[in-house]
Amino acid sequence: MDSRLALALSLAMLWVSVARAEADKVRVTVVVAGAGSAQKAIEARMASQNDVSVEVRVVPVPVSKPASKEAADPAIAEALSAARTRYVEADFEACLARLPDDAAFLGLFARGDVTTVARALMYRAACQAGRGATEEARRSAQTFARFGLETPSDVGSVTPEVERILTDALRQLRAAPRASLRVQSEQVGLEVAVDGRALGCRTPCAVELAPGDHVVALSGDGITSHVQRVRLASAGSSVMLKTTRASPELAERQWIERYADRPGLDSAESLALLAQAVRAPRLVLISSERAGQALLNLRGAYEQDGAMSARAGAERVPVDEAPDESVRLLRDLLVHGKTLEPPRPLWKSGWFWVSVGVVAAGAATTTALLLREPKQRTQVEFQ
Amino acid sequence: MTTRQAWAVGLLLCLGCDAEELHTATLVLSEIKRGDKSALSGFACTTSDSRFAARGSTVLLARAYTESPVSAKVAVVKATMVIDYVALGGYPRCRATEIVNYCAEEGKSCEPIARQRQCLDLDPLEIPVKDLAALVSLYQRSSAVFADYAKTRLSGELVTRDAPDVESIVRLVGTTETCNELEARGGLDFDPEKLIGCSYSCPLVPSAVRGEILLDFESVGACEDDVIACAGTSFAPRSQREIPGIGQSASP
Repeated sequence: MDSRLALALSLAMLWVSVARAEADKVRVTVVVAGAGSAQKAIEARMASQNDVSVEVRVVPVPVSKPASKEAADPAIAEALSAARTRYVEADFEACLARLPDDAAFLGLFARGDVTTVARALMYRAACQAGRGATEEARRSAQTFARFGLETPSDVGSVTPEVERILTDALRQLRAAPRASLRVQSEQVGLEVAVDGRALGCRTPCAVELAPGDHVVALSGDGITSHVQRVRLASAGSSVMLKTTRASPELAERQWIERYADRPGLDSAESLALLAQAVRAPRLVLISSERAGQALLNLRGAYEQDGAMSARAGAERVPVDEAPDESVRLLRDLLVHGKTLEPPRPLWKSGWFWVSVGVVAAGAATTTALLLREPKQRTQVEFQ
Repeated sequence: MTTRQAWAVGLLLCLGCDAEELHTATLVLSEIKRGDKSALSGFACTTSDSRFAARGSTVLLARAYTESPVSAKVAVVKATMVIDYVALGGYPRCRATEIVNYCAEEGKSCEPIARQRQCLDLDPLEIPVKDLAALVSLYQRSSAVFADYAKTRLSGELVTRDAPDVESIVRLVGTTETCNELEARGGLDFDPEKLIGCSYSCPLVPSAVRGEILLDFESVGACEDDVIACAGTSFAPRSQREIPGIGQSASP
């Protein structure tokens, strides 16, 4: 074979093998949480680790952002205020026109703003009663009672008749039989809230409610809150709710709200949500906490494909050794999580036996050289 | 390549390397002091026909002297020196009689090793003389001149690069036959009529010698016969065949 062709083939094979090695690298996202300067040092060491089989992406731990307080919808609040004014002015039609409709209640319940719903329904009943539509007022009061709302603080601004309609509706509801609403979802364990109130029920579960329309909301880690109007029959009903996976940004907000700077930082739920937030199929969370003067306790948790794979830790590590110890922790986690092969015993390595062979050959050669008498030659010449 | 790999390769290469230790053995010509003159041992024998006439006898080495073709006042000294290793196949002691008796034993050949022969045609030496015959007749002077000539010409000459590793005697034969003539004639023997002298070492293994090898001559009978025996192919002197009589000359 032509030597240049052989060289080209060799280079091509080398390139292919290098490319394959790069492609075979395990990509792992690492989040480091914990004590200040140590955190930075660990992050830097992780980023520079050069294990041939691991490609590490270091992501800063999500930090709390100024909470965007979900205040009451200003438009609804304004409309409610205007309706109240119309009610006081006995302009009942205008009052009813300004009050939020049932569709708006979905959003209000989703935000847990039951007070606004209660006020809206109270003024709806009041305006209907003022207009002379007593039956409609009673239905509004029944809706008020079915939602389990509490009488708003400004109930004094409505007439005693309206107050009585509300009280009657509440009394009738208490006397009426309840029905069972079974709530299911594709993802289990989601928190169920009905009519804006958390009932301590996680899917799949059943709650006892007054028959009729209700607003069911599902919330949980990594999903977008889901709100749906449900009609509960007297004999009971079952509802299967679909959920939507939360965006990374929403997941990040959820993680910050529920896990950041809290004891369950490295819990399975926390890691699953964090992995979703940082878009990491494989996530390692390294957390550190002070264990004395210049000492740290390191803990590591490894989550892959939504499930906790491994945990590891190192106690009382000197601060200056924490970065290297963290890299060892990372490797341990990946090995225990069966992502990396455990280090092969030395004697199983081909290089070990090659080295043994070389050493043996060297020893034999040295011995032979030491024992071997050099060939002797004597030349004879005249003095 | 790492240092360790280089060491390994070096060691492996050393397996194939052929380490050699070189020694040198020096041939020293034994001399006989006669007054203020010296003669080479084995190169001062007189011819056998003059054994009863010491005065006027002819020294063998006179054969090396010739008159210059250019001038009668110039003598030319010229000789050929042949060095042989005479294989003994054993280890007799050093006395001439012991060597002779050893070589006379059945199964002992005491023949020179042909491939080890080294023949040196010494460059001629011209010396001014009043009369060549007078010079030659001056036994001591002619021996001394020849001794100087031989020592000078042989000094530093390499005999062999790889001395044999067998029990042997190192033998030096002086003759007026040139190397070409010897080679053309074939065989390892010399023309007895052209011999100048002969000396030899004690039995030794040449390859094991570190230092000097003394070439000496010890006559056990007629000196010329012993030279002939020394230069022979079996190291058996004529005196072994012809029992020397009383009064035989034995000038070494």
